[in-house]
Amino acid sequence: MKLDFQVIIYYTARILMGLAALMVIPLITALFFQEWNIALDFLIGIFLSLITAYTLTLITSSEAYKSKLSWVDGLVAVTVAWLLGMILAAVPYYLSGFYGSFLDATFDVMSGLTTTGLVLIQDLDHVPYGINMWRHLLSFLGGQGMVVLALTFLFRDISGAFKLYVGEAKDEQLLPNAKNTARVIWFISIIYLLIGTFIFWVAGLYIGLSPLRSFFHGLWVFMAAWSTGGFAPQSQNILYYHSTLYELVTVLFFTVGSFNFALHYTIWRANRREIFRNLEVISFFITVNLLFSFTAGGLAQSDVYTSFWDIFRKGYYHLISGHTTTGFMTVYASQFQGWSDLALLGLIISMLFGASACSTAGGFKALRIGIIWHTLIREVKRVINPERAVVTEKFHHLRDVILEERHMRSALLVVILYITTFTITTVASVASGYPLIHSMFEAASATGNVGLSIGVVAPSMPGLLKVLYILVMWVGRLEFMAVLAGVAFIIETLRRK
Amino acid sequence: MKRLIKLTIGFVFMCYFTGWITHPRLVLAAPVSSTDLLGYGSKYQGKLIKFEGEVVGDLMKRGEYTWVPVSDGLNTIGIWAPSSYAEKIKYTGSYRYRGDMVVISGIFHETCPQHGGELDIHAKSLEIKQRGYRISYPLNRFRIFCAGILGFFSLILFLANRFRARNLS
Repeated sequence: MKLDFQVIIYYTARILMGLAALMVIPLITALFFQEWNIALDFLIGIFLSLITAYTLTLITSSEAYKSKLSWVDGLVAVTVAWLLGMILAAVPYYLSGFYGSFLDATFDVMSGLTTTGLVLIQDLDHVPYGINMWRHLLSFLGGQGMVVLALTFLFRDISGAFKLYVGEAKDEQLLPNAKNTARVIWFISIIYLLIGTFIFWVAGLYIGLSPLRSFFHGLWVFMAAWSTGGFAPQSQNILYYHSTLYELVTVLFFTVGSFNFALHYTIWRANRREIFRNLEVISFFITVNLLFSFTAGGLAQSDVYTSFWDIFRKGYYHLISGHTTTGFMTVYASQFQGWSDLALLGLIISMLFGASACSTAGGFKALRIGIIWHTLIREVKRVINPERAVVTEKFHHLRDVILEERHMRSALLVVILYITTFTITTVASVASGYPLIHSMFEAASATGNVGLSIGVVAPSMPGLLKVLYILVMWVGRLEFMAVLAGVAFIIETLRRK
Repeated sequence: MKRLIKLTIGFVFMCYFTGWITHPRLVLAAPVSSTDLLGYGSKYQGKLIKFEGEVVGDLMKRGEYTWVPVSDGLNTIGIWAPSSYAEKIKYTGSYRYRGDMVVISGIFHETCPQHGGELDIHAKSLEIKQRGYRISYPLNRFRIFCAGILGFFSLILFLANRFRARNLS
C-alpha cells in the first residue's frame, strides 16, 4: 500500500478511537438509568469502532507513524474519518429502534456532527437518556470538531497537525502549536459547559422541571446551544419549555457559541474592546438586524401574530437562531408555512449568511460577508479615485489587516460554493415534488448547518434526498476544501492506476 | 306550518338561554388530531375542541396552572391546565413509562395572546381515559452475544497492536 494512503488510514484510525472513547459517556448514562438494552447498543458501537480503528492501524506500516502529513493527507484523513465516524456512530442509534432505517440513523449522526439539527428520529418523547446523551454529545463534539478532540487527547506532538485541524474548516491558530490550539478550544468549551449547564439547570427549576430532569435538559440544551446544533430532548424543541426565560438563556449561549474561538480567547486574555471592533461581530449584528426587518415586516404583512411582542418573540428568536445556524425552534415546522414569503426570505438569507469563522457555526460566515463588503468599498474607491492612486482597504479581525487579493478570492470562492450547493439542493427538492419556497428554506438550513425545518425533512422523504442532504451538511460543515481534496485524491489515485 | 315556526322559535330561544347561539365558540364533539390543528389552525382558533393523547415528558407547574405536554402519536401539543387537573395525572410518557391517556376539552389557540403567540390549548376539562404503566424491556440475549463476540475481537486486535508497537519500539 502506498505511504500517503497509510498515513491517511493511520490518522483516521486515531480519530475513530476518540469516537469509541466518547461512546463511553452515553454508555454510563444508559447504565445509570438502567437502560440495559441501550447500554448493550453502545457496547456494540464501541467494540465496532475499536475493531475498525485497530484493524486500520494494523494494516499500516511503521513508516506511517513517523511520516509527515501533507496538506492533501490531512484533508483526506478528516474526510474519511468523518464518513467512517458517521457510520459507526449511527450503530447505537439504529439498534435503539427509534429510526426507520440505518440511513435515517446516519442522517441524524451527520446532522449532529455538523451541528445542523435536522432530525429523522421518531417518537422523540420516548427516547431513552442514553440515546439523548449521544445525540447531544455528537452535536457538542461536532461544534468543537472530531479532529480537535483527537488532537487534544490522542495525538502526541505530530508534525503537520495543523493540516488536520484546517481540514475541519478551522484556520485560526490561537497558539503556535495546533495541539495546544485544540486544547484551548476544548478548555473554553468545557468552562462554558459548566457555567451554561448550571444556568440552564436553575432556569429549568424555575420553570417547573424536577432537579434531575432540569439538570439533564440543561446539559443537553446547553450542548446544542453552544455548538449551534439545535437538537433538543423533546419533540417540541424549545417550544416544550413555554418560557421566555429559557428562550433568552438559549439565545445567550447560542450567540456566544457562534463567536469565533479566537475572539473568545482574545477576550479571555482581557482584551474586552475586541468585541466592539471585530469585523465578524459588527457584520453579524448588522445583518441580523437588517434581516429582522425582513422577517418582522413579513410577519406583520401575513397577520400571523397579533401583537408586536409576539412578532418580536417569534420573529427575532427564529431569525437569530437561523443566523447563528443553531436551529432551535419555538414553532412547529408546519407553522412556518403560514409565514409570508418575505418573512421566510429573511430566514433563508440569515441561514445562508451564518455566524463566525472558526466557531461552531456554519454558513458563509460573517467574516466573509465583511470581506466582501470591504471589497465592494475598495472597488468603489478605485472608481472615484485617480487611476494612479494606491487604494488600500483595512479591516479589523483580532488585528488590523490590509485587504489583499487572497482574502477576496478565498471569501468569494467559498460563498460561490455555498450558493452552488444551496441551488443544487433546492433543485433536487423541487424535483422531488416539494414547493419552491419550502425547498429553498430546507436547502438553506442544510447548507448552512442550521436545523430550522419547514417540514421537508421527515422520515417519509425520498431516500436519495436524504443522501443528498447528508452530503450537503457534510460539505457545508467542512467548507468544501477537505471534501474536494478527498475527491481529487481519489480521482488522482484512479488515474495513476 | 305555524307549529313548525313555533317549534323553531322555541328551539332558538332554548339555544339562546343555554348559550349555544350567543357563545362565539363551536363545541366539537369528536377529538381533533394534532395534524389538523397544526395544518388548519385558523379554522379552530378560539374554539372549544377535544384533544386526545398521551401525557409525555414533564408537568411544568407555573403557580395555579401547569403545562401538560400531550402527544396524539403524531405531534405533541402544550396544554395549559389548572394545576388541580394536572394532579390527576400519575404517569408521564418516557422510555420507561407509557403516560396516562387523557381527553382534553379546551380552547385552541393557533397563536395564543397570553403565551407570546404559542400554539396551545387552554384546558376546560381533563379526563383520564386510560392509566399509564411501566414498560419492561426484557434483556436482549442476542445483543449480549454480539457484544461478547465483538468485545473478544476488540481485545485480540488491541493485544496485536500492543505487540506490534512493542516490536517497533
